[in-house]
Amino acid sequence: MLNFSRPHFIKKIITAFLMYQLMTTSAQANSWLEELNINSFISIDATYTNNDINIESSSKESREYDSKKISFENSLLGTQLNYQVSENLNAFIQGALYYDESGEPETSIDWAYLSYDFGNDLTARAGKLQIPFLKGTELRKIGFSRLWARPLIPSNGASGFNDFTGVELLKSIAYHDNNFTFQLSLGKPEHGLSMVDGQKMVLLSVGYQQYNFHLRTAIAQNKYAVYSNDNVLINDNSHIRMGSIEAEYTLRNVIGNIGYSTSRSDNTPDDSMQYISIAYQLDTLSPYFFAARKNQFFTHVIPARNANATSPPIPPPNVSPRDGDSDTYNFALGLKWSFSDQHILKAQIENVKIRDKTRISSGIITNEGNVLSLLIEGVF
Amino acid sequence: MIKMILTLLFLLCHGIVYGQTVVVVAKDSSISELNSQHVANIFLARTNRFPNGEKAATIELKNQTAREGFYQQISGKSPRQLNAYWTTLVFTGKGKPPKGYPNSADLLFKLNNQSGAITYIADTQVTDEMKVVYRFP
Repeated sequence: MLNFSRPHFIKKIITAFLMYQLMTTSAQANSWLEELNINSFISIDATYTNNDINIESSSKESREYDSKKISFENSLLGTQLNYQVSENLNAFIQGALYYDESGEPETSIDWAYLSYDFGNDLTARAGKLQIPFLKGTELRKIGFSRLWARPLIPSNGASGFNDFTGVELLKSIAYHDNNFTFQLSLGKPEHGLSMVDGQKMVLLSVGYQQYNFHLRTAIAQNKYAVYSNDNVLINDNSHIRMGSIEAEYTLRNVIGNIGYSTSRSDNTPDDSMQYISIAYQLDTLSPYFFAARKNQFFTHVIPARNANATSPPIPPPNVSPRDGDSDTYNFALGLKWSFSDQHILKAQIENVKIRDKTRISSGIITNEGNVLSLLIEGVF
Repeated sequence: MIKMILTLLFLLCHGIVYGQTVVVVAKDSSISELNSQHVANIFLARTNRFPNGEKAATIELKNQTAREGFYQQISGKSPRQLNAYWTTLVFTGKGKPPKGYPNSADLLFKLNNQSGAITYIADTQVTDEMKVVYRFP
């Protein structure tokens, strides 16, 4: 049954429309505030699944979709204010309005920082930033920037760490036709789960571009603490090491993307992902195909220690611990239509298959679904 | 073959009407010459500095025809590919496109009054108030 009768549906559409109008009007501020730039983005996403399934989302790491319903909950709206304080100092803030896991409107500030240009293409930024692990991590909410309906990176794209508060140095080097970018980030990472408290992060990202070839790689190490569901500290000295590499190459009208990431954690699970995508650009139309595999590997780990001696003992888990592989396979066909310079329409059909072998007593649990998405996305 | 001839005719006519595109700075700028790589790196926000270290401020006309031709020459990107490129930079805070002006008068005023300003125009529009630093072959 198609579900158009959610009680807040009309209210949400009106809210989104008013936000869009407000931002469009605000964009005219450019003419009289020379040093202020306002940029906004929007995604209107209608997604239908034929089964209850968990898929990636633009605003959150993943989202549960109910079968045989059209959901608009992956829609979002965001804006950015970028103010040139002086010749070398810049202030930047960017946030979004989206739906949370329960379907209620939620707002977030994704970037809020000051940057300083030292010259020689060396810039420092300090504040709240996005982790530059995979391209899709920084641009998760900006649907206009990607080919696909949703980000290919999964919740384990940066192992659940997407934001951090800290500092980073960016350096660009152009040598003949070769362009290098280096990004060193230090700070306190934020994890999507309340049970994980990020403490320290160090990350180095290197990008290389020549003509129509782009390569980007990143390595990172995070230190974090883990809490139980009832907020009892399990381990305050866990580490995760992450690495990623991705490339894009354009040959005439064909655009190829390939990527890989992996992470190894003191606490289960470890994870990895691979993706490949091919698109053919035919004027304003770009048909595409992608395939992705995401793996989470669980090991039955006994909590290392209870760091706080005054804490109550950790209760035994209610269910048997997970041990083994959980794989998600995605195959999709889609079409992107750039119907104006600033707006695109995407249609995508995707098959998602999950094979969970981590519950030994339950055997292999398989869940499969087909996901049909229609989106209008834009920047303005 | 016919398509090729028509394309050549179009380019020829385009050149007669609009003139050849040149990259210019203010007459009193310390920059005297750039090469194609400098121009590409500056206008694609890969660097915000001239080769001598001075800060560059890219500006342009909001004229689709001129813009498309210029960026096609320096990057090989179509307007839509270029939009995706700018979106990636703008929303990660790593760069922004040249500031656009609606008419030549505003553009030239800015060129002469903003330190480090650089733009591209048709060579038929070059005046004594500006200096050509790059000419497309």
